[in-house]
Amino acid sequence: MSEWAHPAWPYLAAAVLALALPRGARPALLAAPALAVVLAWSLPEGGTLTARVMGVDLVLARADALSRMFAIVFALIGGLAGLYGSGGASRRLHVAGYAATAAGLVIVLAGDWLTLYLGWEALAVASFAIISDGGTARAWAAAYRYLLVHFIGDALLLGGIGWHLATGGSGLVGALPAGGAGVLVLVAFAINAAIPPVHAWLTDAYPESSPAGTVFLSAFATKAAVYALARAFPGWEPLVWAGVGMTLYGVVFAVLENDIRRLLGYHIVSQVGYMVAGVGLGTALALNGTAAHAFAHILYKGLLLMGAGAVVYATGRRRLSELGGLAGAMPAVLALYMVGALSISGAPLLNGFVSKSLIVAAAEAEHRPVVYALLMLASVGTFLSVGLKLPWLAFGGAAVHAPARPVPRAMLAAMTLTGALCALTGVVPSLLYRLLPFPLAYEPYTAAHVFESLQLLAGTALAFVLLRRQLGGKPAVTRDTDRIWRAAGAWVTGRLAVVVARVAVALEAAADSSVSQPIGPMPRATGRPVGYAVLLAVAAVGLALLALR
Amino acid sequence: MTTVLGLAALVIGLVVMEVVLHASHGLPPGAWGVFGALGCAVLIIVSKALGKAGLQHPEPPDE
Repeated sequence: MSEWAHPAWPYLAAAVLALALPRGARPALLAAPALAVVLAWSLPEGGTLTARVMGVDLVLARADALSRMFAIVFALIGGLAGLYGSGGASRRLHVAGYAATAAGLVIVLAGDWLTLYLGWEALAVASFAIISDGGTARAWAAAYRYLLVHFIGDALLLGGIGWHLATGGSGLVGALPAGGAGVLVLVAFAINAAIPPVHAWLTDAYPESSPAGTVFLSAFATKAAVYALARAFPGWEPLVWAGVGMTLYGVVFAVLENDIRRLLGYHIVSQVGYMVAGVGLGTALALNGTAAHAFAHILYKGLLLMGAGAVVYATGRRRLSELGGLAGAMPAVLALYMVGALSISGAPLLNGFVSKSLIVAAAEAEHRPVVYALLMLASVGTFLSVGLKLPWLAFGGAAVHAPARPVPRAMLAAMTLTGALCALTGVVPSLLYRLLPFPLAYEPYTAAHVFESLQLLAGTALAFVLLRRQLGGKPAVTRDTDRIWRAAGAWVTGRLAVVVARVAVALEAAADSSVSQPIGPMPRATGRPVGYAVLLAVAAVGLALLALR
Repeated sequence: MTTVLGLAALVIGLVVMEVVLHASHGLPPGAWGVFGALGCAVLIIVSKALGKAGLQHPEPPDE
């Protein structure tokens, strides 16, 4: 009998209860996240939970410092997102959001590959439901595309795990050797981590969900992938450059972006790039940085998306070209958004400063000046888009559209709590550092480091003031790699449709010839099942085309 | 008077910052500020150029 409980249980219970509870009673479900945080916090080092399911021995959970750190922040953000949505989010969002949190916890605590895969699959399905909570045709289409991409990734993951086990590999989650199985698993992780060119599902899907849905989504898929990469591929050099590429890719696209939540989506890609680079560097300092940055990022990105969601909720508008002058009407939202914006930009006294510094310092310690400089450049781009461009265009200037409705107290309460956590872990970094997987001797608050960061921010702000007219929100959308995938997907689906139709016609002809034997009068109804097969095939292809349009 | 004191504090702060950075990293004065300004300008120029090269296209109408 185990003496500890899996932190996913309270979230699973909340998801089930949300199915039955009326809207007014749903805030009571917030007790579940509180319990999950306590359970995650008290995970015993080295403890395991095992079970025998259908003759297979599973290590449902294996606690160590890395998994505990991710479990704590997953449990935290699930509660904060639940609080944010408690004012008016749908039943579907409560169920799917809590289920996604449980799935995320299953992944980061999984002791064996099969349990990790089950969590991975559950997270994809729950995320599909969260995206569709946006309620529009665009949201449903994006949700189907999300599911399609992630099922491909899930199939690769399952194939890689099967290959790994079939060739005598360990069933326990750990470093994977190079080879075919490792490549399949790596591609599956790369899809979930949103490493370009397989990243576009993120900026396609996240902005289409409801305001609270986007907060849930931002926390789990990419960070679960970062966790898995840190487990399976630490120190793999190509990840350094993949990560650096992500940091810059995200900031370049964010400069062009007009949709506020899509802009922030590109900065998820960028910030996850720091973490992936940290995994690639693979030193204790770098892996500490990856874990710390994932923790900090989940909080400040949650806060940023809460702020953007509050703007969308209040104004009904999501494009910078349609926003402006909201500072007077939404001062609290602006203030809390800026806490997140300064955190992600690496401003001192906030958590992004103390976490990002670890990865950059690891690059410096490994004598990687180009990596170091490019990570610093990405930091400039982050402040430019998230800390300057977005607030200037959405909150600054003359009012364009006044908010149509006030922001619910629950949203502001969740933002305040999240902002407080960003500040607390920034001012007292030891709170974050003591959770790290490796011993750490690093002091972020040296005069040199603080002044270096302030100079970087001041220089960026100066250039922004001079060039800000270049950044005016224009009613335009950016083309990303999803265009390529959609075109390729439609082409493949179209060809498959032809093949399926030909096979079905051949089967139908064969059935017709088989019933034309001269035995007497017989009804020619035997072609019907084949006709149904054609109908189903056409319907399936039609659905796929809908998802890919 | 307050403005003058504020400006004086800012100048003193900047001088201290530069001295510390110069002593610890051997960097020339304002190096990271220049890096931030130039980096910001480069990112804006590159992004705009990519946008004009075809990364951006007109927004589709709302549903």
